[in-house]
Amino acid sequence: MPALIGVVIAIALYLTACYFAFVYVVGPALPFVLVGAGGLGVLIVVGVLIGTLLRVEGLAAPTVTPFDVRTRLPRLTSKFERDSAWPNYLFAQSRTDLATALGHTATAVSRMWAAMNKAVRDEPVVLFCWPLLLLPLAGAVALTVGAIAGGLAVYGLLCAGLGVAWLGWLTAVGVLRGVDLGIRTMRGAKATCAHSGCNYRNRLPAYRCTCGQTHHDIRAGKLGVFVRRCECGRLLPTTVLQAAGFVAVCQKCDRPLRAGAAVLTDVLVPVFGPASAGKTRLVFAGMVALARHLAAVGGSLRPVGPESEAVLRDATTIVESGMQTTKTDADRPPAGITVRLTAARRQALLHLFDAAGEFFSDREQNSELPFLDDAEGLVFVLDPFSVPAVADDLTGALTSRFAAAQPAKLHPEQSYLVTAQWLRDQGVKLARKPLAVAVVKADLLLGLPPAAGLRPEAGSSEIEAWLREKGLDNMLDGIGRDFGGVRYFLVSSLDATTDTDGTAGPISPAQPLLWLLGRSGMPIVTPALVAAS
Amino acid sequence: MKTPVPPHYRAFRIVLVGVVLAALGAAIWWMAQTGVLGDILSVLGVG
Repeated sequence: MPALIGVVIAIALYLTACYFAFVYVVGPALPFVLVGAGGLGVLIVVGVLIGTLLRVEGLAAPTVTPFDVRTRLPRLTSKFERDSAWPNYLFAQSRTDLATALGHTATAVSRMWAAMNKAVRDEPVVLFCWPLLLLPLAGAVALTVGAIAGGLAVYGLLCAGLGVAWLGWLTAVGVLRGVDLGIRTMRGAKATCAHSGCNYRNRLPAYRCTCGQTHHDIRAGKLGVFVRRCECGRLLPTTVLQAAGFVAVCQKCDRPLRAGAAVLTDVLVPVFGPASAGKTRLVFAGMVALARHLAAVGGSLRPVGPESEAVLRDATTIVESGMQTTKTDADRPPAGITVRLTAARRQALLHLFDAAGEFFSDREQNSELPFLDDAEGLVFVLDPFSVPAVADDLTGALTSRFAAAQPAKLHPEQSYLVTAQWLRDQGVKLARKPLAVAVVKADLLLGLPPAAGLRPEAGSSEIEAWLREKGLDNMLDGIGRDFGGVRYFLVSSLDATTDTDGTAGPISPAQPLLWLLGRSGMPIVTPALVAAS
Repeated sequence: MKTPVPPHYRAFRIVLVGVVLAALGAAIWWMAQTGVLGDILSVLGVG
């Protein structure tokens, strides 16, 4: 009985103590604990975030480097992986910073709970002071609630701020890309690889940094809006127009492009026709005549790159000395000849592609001529001496003239049909492309009986009528149907036939090129226009 | 990575810190202006 009374008294005293603890300790202290712990929770969120952003030791987030962009940024649809450059803060580092700060905050709060839990488990006797334990428990709950509320507010605010920055980024990127592409499209600028066997062509070249790193897409984007920073630290522009001073390289073969690629008006003109038709001679004489014409009208023509310099030098020697042109090597794909034209404050790169005639004789070999796909215009070389109606008239005393012409062995219609069909198979919209039909060897043809009535000053319609008279109706009808614009030229490639003032004469080999240049956004003033002005 | 971190990382972070501090200051100012702070202090018995 006394023991029972003792227990009752002890319980009464314990409950009394609990009551006094509630009334005199927990009650008065609870508001302070709740407000203080709640505020502390908010301050922990803010403090940890500021510490992480200011890279305080132990809080700093890992840095997203160029090596991480391929895993941290969305994959590209391009065949190339992302370039190795520092990403814009908005797209990788910001997420890392915020996630790290959030992680530190969550860790701090969870450690607090773990410490409280551990203290109770290690010393269960403290549970007898449970009224007093309500204070740290309420404080922990308030701190957690404060941290969650503060986190929602602060991180929500930062996400909204980053969202606004993202909208600004999107606008700037759209404007930069649009202006860059718009100006270059209006100029007709493209990047053409002149290396033999490649000849890849597009609007966006790759650029090589001085460290050797190739950037396949320098446009404004996740790797920089106004500039991008290569992994080596060098700054690169984010528009092709600004990158004119950097080394542009081909997206396909990774070899350097010509200076001005993708920035200047780019005119690609393949010259096609059967073997021995006189394609190389036309290209050589055409370049020399064009150079003289441009010089006469205040412009200039200069070769770009050592290969083109050598070709133009050889062409000038051959054309001026009247030497025979050597046959083009049919064993390897053709290399482009690139010249930079300047006329009336406009500049353009003209690429002339001269493939061996054998490439045009069958569709299998045509597949090695990628430059045919995306040309601004084409020149079809038609050897009049390979037309049966002309050859048949050159008998007797005229046989030697026929032999001197070294006529092409393939009928022009066959060569045309094979090439046109291949172009159609490649999806090339011929109806959008102009075709200059160059009836070459005019110096040998004019004056012969088959060319009776054909004048050096003959216009396109006169030349077309003469060709129809010689039985090429089918081919000419096909040409008219296939191409968007056709013009016939009577051309002598024997020399760079010019007028006395240096401008291109009526049978100058420069005439087909001048016409195609005019159609491609690079009009070059002609004597008639000079007189008119 | 041997090259230094791009300066725009630091600029962005400083701007974000400024935004957080400004928001915190604005929140305190708002609480003071609207009397919320006074209410809290009076609950604590110190206002």
